[in-house]
Amino acid sequence: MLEIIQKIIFEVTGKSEVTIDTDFVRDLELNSFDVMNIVCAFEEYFQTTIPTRDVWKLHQVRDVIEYARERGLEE
Amino acid sequence: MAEVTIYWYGPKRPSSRQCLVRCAALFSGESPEGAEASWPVEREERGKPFFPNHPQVHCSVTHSGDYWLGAFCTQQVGIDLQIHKPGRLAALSHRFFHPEEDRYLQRAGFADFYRVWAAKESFVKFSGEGIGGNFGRFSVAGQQGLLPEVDGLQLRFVPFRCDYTLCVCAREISSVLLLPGK
Repeated sequence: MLEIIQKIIFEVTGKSEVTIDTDFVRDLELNSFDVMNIVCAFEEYFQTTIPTRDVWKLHQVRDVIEYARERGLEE
Repeated sequence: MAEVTIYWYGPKRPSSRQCLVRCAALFSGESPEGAEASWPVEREERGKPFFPNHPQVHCSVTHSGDYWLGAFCTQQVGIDLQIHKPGRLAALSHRFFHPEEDRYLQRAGFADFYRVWAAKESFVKFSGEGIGGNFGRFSVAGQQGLLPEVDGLQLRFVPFRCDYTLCVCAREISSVLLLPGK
């Protein structure tokens, strides 16, 4: 799952220094536009929809991995 | 009437917090040196900064591409800067915008995408609720195109750099001053 997320982030933002502890805003300095682009790419890849209210709870890569695991999203 | 002052910093700048307090001091006619001590910063629930020791100074901050900008006013204010860069514009519009905005952008070939984006963000930054609130529940576009105000709040586009869109949101904007940070 980490590799998929790294791939999506790289494709959308060009950022490659991504680990499980990476914080989207603090470490990658992403703004709302970047985050929403990543959300769209994630939704396309997994053929799912993340409720907007949930998007802003996903601060770090580990949050996304946990979110995907809880919802049974498979690579 | 709202007189808005916007300070900007380019890529070589202090930390975001330092930019904020230096600009707050400048806005208040003080020296930016040593501003960290006299301008403590706190944040609202959704992250909008405020100055507990200076409740008369309102601010909103944004960063995109190479730039950090802070808007300062004696009234509530919201600001958003967005660099134009490739993205899933149609998907973003459909997914996160109001249906009226999505229809408008589809008709216009998404030429105004960044204006819609910056207008919406400045609007939600005005209130401090941020994008997680009702981003898709209000529209900054109507049948005739972009609206100059929403719910009594003015949306003012400010020329900045090419490839960037900058929008300020406040009640009854009388002037907007754009200055470099120090």
